[in-house]
Amino acid sequence: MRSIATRRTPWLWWVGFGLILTAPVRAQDEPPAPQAPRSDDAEAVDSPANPPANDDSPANAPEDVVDAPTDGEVIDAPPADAPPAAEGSPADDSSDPETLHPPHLLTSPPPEYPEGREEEGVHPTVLVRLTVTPEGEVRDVVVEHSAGADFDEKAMEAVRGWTFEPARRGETPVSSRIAVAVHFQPPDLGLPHVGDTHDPQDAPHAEIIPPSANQPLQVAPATADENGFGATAEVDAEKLRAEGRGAGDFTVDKRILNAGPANTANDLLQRAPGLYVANVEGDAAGAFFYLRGFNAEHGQDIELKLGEVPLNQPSNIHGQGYSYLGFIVPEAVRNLRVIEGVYDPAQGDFAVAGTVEFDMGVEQRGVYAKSEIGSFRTFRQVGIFAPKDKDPDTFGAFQVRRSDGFGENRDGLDASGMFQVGFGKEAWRFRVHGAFWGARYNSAGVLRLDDIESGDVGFYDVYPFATARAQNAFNAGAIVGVGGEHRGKNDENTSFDIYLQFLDFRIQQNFTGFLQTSQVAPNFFGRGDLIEQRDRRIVVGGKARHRTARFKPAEWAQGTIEMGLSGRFDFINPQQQNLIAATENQTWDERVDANIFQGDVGIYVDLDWDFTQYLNFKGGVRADALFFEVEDRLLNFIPLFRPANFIEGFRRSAAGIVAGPRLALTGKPFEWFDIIAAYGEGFRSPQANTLVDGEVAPFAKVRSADLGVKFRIGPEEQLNITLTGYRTWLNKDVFFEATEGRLENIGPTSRTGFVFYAVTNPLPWLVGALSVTYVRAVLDGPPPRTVENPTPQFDKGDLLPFIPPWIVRFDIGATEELVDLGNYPLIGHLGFGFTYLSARPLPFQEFADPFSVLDASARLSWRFLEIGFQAYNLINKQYAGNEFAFVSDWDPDAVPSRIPARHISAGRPRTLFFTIGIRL
Amino acid sequence: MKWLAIAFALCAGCGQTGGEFVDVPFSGQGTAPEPFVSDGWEVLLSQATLGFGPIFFCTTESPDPRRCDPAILEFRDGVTLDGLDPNEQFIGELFGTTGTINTAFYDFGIVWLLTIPLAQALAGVPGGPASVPFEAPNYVPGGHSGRFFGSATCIEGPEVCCPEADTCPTSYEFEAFVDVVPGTRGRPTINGVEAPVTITPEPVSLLITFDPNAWFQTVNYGRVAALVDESGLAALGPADPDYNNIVIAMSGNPFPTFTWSTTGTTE
Repeated sequence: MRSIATRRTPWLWWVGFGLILTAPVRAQDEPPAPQAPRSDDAEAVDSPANPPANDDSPANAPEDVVDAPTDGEVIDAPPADAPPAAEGSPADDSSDPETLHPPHLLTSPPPEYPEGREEEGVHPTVLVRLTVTPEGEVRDVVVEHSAGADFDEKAMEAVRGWTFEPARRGETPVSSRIAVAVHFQPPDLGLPHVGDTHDPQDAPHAEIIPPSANQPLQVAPATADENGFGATAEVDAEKLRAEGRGAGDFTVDKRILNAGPANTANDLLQRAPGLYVANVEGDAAGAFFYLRGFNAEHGQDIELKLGEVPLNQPSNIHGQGYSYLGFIVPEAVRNLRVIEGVYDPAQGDFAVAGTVEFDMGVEQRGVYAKSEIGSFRTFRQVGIFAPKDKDPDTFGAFQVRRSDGFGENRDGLDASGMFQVGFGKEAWRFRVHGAFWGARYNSAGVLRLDDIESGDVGFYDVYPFATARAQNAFNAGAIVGVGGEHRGKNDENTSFDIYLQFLDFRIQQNFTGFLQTSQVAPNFFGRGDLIEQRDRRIVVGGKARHRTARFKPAEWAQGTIEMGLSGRFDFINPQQQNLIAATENQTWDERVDANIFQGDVGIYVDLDWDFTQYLNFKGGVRADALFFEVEDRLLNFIPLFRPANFIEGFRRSAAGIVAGPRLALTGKPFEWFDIIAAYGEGFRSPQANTLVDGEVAPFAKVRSADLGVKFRIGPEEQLNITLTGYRTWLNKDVFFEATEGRLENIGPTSRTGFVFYAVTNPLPWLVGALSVTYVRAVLDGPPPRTVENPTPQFDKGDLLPFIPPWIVRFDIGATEELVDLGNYPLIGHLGFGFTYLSARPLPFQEFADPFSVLDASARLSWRFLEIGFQAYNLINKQYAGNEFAFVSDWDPDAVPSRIPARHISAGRPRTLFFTIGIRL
Repeated sequence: MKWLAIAFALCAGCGQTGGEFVDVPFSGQGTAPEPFVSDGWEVLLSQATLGFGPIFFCTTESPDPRRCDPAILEFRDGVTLDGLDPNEQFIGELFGTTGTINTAFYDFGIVWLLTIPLAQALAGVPGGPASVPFEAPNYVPGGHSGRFFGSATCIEGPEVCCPEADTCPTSYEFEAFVDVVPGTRGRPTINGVEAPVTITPEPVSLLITFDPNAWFQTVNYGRVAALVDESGLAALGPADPDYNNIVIAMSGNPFPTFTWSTTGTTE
């Protein structure tokens, strides 16, 4: 390390880079390595008390602080906190076009010592985080560790005047975000230094800019994404809240997301351990999710979030917790955080199997355009703009897609746009974001398996009836929001988010063929069971939270306390106009026409405490109060034969409260090994339309427990392994009821299983991930008795149908420079994604066939141009994306069967895309 | 990978998923011709050809067929039975699942589907397949549900046999071609007949016993005597009250008996 004296001033100062170049192997889902105990206030991070001016001796220069240069003089020493460049690592391989080179300080005028503070003799350090633009300018300065407002102000004022040699990816300047410690040394007035009780030589240098256990000053080097448009600069991995909520708390980072092909958000979700997504109702409808033994349908058992914006729609007429992800531009997804289980007090409604959060951001700055042309006359156009002088939070992205769809009656069109603007002033950072979309696709619906086997209908066809060919979905919406965060000193932070959503969803489906009769007009029948459901809503919501500064009551204990709240209000207009007679689309029955107000106010307390360096406790309690007001205009229906003595309609209200703990205890006996136990209780809100007046809202409550281990293997943690066993209990499970096209109660259920997840980065150009999930999901009691079924045939211990016991997912991606062409590297990428589902149990002792799907992608990038190839279901495996069992009749000339039959929705056959992209 | 897939499949198959599919053989049975006396007439059926089916067995205890969704067992075809043959007549196999049966819903060979405006006589029943335009003014029953022949002999004198008639034959033959047509479109004719049993994977069979002799005890033979033509035959038609008496009797006076036997749990 070089130490260069600056001008002779009464103030000596040091500047340090807190830049830690974590090796690419470090998965962001891993908790940071145990840190040495740290001081809990700014004074404790003081550097040597009175270092002499112009003293460049190592003894007086903290090891992890780089002294500032004389103006105009270049420091080309590596960051002090950066690990030594390993042989063959990116840090010493400047020829590697993927290699990340940190920024270097060029000019650094010193900070002024605040007026009036000189006589105090303090010598604090202010830790700031800033963005170095590709032009070497400083942007978005944020105080991370405050030393008081006046010192903070002077530190920020100083660093804004500094200039840098920008970070480079290969030879290309890129944006980067780094931590800088600005140290103030008081003028030597001959006064004793307050708080200076240590010999400077004894100062624990490692504590000067210590990343806390929760807030690692970690930057993850990015890799090129699947399209060559991903993170090429560092990612600021610092979190406001601690992760590591149970062993099943994973972050699937950009490297894994980009390994294989993905042109929808659902494709990205397949990378999450144990998560299977079946997108079988068309790209304008939500997908079906399966996670850890939960048939989460369209989102009833999985909390989905876009940043801090919840995507689940309570009391959606098509399914509780319905979620649509088609508007998310996958190229703008920075990572996925997946919490499997309910162990974080911040998890809210629908976090039954767990939570998935999309983190949006574009690391590679510039303008990018990509066209995809492929099978079934599919065309997709993507555009992204990410201003180079802004941080990765700031971007705009859009996609337009049209397709004839595989098989019959699957054509459609969708378009979406997303933007996010990040900006900040001093300790505050803000984010404004929005998303807008529209989509309409036809749908082939479901087919009886016996009809396929008999050749009456093709696997990828649709039934030849007007009410089958009229199946389609329409989706439109807009989300806007504002978020802000304030980072104080010593881990203290505060944040808020508010959002507004307008959502419109309409779907026409015919599951049962020709079985239904009109309830409004009994002489209407036999017109085909085409159900129209529409859910239109406005959502207003927000969240706020505050985490205290780190508190250290004893040498062996330190931690923080967080309190948070959330509020959400949905104004919903659900309708179900069953039985529309195609093609004129007359309504010939009405089932639901309501106005619903639903509110959710949640509060939580969350602790994050370290007990020595070997034990960490995270957890607290969450409570949610839910309120419902329903105006159902069609209930209390008056049949034609009955004289009316009242007016149809049913108005009612209900409320309820649910609370439960979420706890995670992590033992860290070694730096490379964690053992984590977790227990939590979550909930799913009820469908508002099923409540009666005054009912204490009957929440579905889940209890979840995990016990797992995490290994970090290799000098740079090239292999990260997680193995966790879990058990969950759900007191009210539901299943799909085809006649009404909605979910019905099936009784209490439980699940036992394990998740194995390994992420490896054995070579700088190679990344891979493997997950294996097993679950045994059983019924814990018979379903409720009904008039239709007073003696339910399910027994305790019966397997839950449709749940795949085994889900295996494997992703591997390789990105490497192949050859130099005209002094520019030609970069190649090859990636694969593989999914395997074991035989899913079906009702009546049947099992669906197991299946596996292999996806692949290849790409060449040269200068601003890239061309690529994507293949989904490369081996063209014919498989059922989803299976059902219910009664249907698709032969209008025969006596209809009343025995449940297997139905399938076809999975995607081999689909090939050619892509071409330009990046400027 | 293959061994892995096999191992996964084996583990996946460890457990029940609530019942299983079964086939239950079932037969029909008639009642031997047996003379009976009704209002001074001795009556003997000589032929009773029945059309029967489809039939559904359901868990619900309600007579509302909309509650029979799903069914436990079903037979969706039409068959012809000899209602006067006391021997078992194999019909076919009921298909369905294990579970508890409480009720039966069935038709006598004529169904009225939601999707077709007219009732239909199924193939396999007498005169089927055919449309049954029973509401037309000149409707002539096809005898799809039953074709009955018999004779009636007055044994107690005209004042008893034909108390309101001027003339009274001492004996006559009669015939009735009966169509038992569902009363509501999309629903079976006979709904919610008790037929309790628990179907398990163990073998079980069903015997359905019909008693046409009992059905014809509801007929007013003195009134039918007025229909006797020159050849000495009385043909009952839909305009005749006794035709409807037969239809009503077939609809539940009495119901057929359902006998579950062999290793099944008969209740």
